[in-house]
Amino acid sequence: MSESLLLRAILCLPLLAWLPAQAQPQPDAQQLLAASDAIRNPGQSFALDNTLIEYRDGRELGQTRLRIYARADSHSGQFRNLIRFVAPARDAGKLMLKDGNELWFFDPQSKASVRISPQQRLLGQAANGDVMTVNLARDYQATLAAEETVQDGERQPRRSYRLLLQSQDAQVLYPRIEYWLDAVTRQPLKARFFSASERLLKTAYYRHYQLQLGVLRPSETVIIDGLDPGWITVMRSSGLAWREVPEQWLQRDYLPRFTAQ
Amino acid sequence: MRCVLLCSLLCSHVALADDLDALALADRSVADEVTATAQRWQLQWQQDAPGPASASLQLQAEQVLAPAWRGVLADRLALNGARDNALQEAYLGWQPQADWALDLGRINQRSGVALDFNPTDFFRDAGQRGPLSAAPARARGQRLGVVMLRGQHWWQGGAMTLLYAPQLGDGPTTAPWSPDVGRSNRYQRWQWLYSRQLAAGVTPQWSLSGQTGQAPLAGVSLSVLAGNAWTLYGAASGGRQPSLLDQATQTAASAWHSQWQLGGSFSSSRKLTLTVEYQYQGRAVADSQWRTLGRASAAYLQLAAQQQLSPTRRGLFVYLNWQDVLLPSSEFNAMLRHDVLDHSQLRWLEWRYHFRRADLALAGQQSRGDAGSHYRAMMPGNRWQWSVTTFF
Repeated sequence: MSESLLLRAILCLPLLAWLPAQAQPQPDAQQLLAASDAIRNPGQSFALDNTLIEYRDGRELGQTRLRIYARADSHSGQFRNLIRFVAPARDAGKLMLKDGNELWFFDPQSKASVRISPQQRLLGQAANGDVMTVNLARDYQATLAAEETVQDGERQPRRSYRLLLQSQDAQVLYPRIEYWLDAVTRQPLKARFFSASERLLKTAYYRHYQLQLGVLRPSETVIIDGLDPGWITVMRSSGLAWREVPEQWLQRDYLPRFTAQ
Repeated sequence: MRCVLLCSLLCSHVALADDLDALALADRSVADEVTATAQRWQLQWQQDAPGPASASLQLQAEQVLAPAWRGVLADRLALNGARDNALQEAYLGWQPQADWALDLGRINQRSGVALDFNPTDFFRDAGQRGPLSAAPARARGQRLGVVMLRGQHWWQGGAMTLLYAPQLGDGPTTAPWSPDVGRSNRYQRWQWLYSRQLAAGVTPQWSLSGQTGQAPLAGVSLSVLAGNAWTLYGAASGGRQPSLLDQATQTAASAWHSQWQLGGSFSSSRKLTLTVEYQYQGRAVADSQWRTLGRASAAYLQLAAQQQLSPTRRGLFVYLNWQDVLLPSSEFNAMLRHDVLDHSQLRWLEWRYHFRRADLALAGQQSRGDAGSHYRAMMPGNRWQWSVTTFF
């Protein structure tokens, strides 16, 4: 009888080792996502420069320089952006206003302010340029899919949480996102963006973390097109600074008036 | 099942290899040194067939002159022949606070949401010097501003503009270095614009405009988003005005006339954007009068062209933009103007390639219809053009 008890105790030992791990509470996926958002975006209005270098099949096609002014919306908590094209010279001075799905494009030569659709915004590089300023936790419901090791943008293995983000809004361009963030620091590492038809639209690697406004933030994002993997955009951020962005700047009627600051 | 697993494993390995290649490429990338400049220059050379070669230099500049003060300048100099200069904009702006500003000088004031005909664009007839581009966006950039005093006020969810433009001349001049204010400021005019957000994404703009000797013209324009890929828009204006024919024949009669347009724009994931607009121009002659009176009157056709209005009442405008259609960094543009009344058409095609600092473009234009029809009268025959534009 005692031998039988001893045998049972030995058999149960692995379970005892397993129990403490199970006792640890699962991290809340939505909180993980919010913590990751806070690393990508400062908590109040700011400005930054984005340089986008575009490649097709290994050949550089061109570079786009954008100046982005972001104002946190007091109601939604989402950022509203005014994006000014600095380069190339062909596009210098053009403006794009983004307030959720409301998008306006202004050309200083024709003086025309034209409303554009989210799909049309994707045709230009500005769509990549301002994707960094999106607060995902506001628009997506996150669930924790796995804790796993993933290769990060520096090609190093990183212990990470894989989150599945599902949008509540049928109008968003990326209804589903797979999102990997560091299991310890919560730094975003990688994301895969899917269309409504489950087609992979783009893969993004967040890398080259640098101390900016008191927090280690990614200074470079490498974006790989889902349909054409030879189409690659390298997006470099610089000049991140707190910046008062007046409410007046963020409406269509102000666009012809805006002067570079 | 084994095949599916094998394919899935193979695909994930291929994707990972693609990602590693992309990261290695990103490691080698070098960003250009860029400094933001307040001036934008364009040097264009173009060859028309039939027609001569021509060259022009375009400057656009915005400069903060002092806190709250800024200067704006836009000028186009034709470099061949008579060295014709067009001073398109030159004004001084004063903005003591974030929510209001005053501007004084020659301003290209534009209203409306359509790509082509905008009924609320009161200053569309300010005129231009030199040849006018067929592409609507480029044509608007070529028009002269109007000398005016403009005040603007913005608040959360709304804006108001009030402007006054005095009469400064009776007609255009061809003197090459003249600011040509007689062309842009032929009449004393004023305009009031008011925008207010009614709901998320719904911000109509109302307008009231007037000029000496005419009753005020009221207008409204609105655009909305319809799903991820569509934008829909429309605009209308109306008031007691002389018809174009009465004005051309200097008959002192006025009646209620309206102008409106409805349009939509669709973008596909294949980088194609298609815009369709339907236009109604109530100041034109009635459909039954077009063949007997309108097309026979040179004064009528000239007045319609000068006011940038269609000489017939109903028209259709289609514009297609397709990026990266043959090569990366290229775009294909096509435009169709169709007169619903006499079925004449103006067709325009353009293929454009973007180099780093220059554009190369080849364009063709063709009119179709009976002799004397709207678009055949405007541009008989075919025309080709190729151009090189450098940006610096």
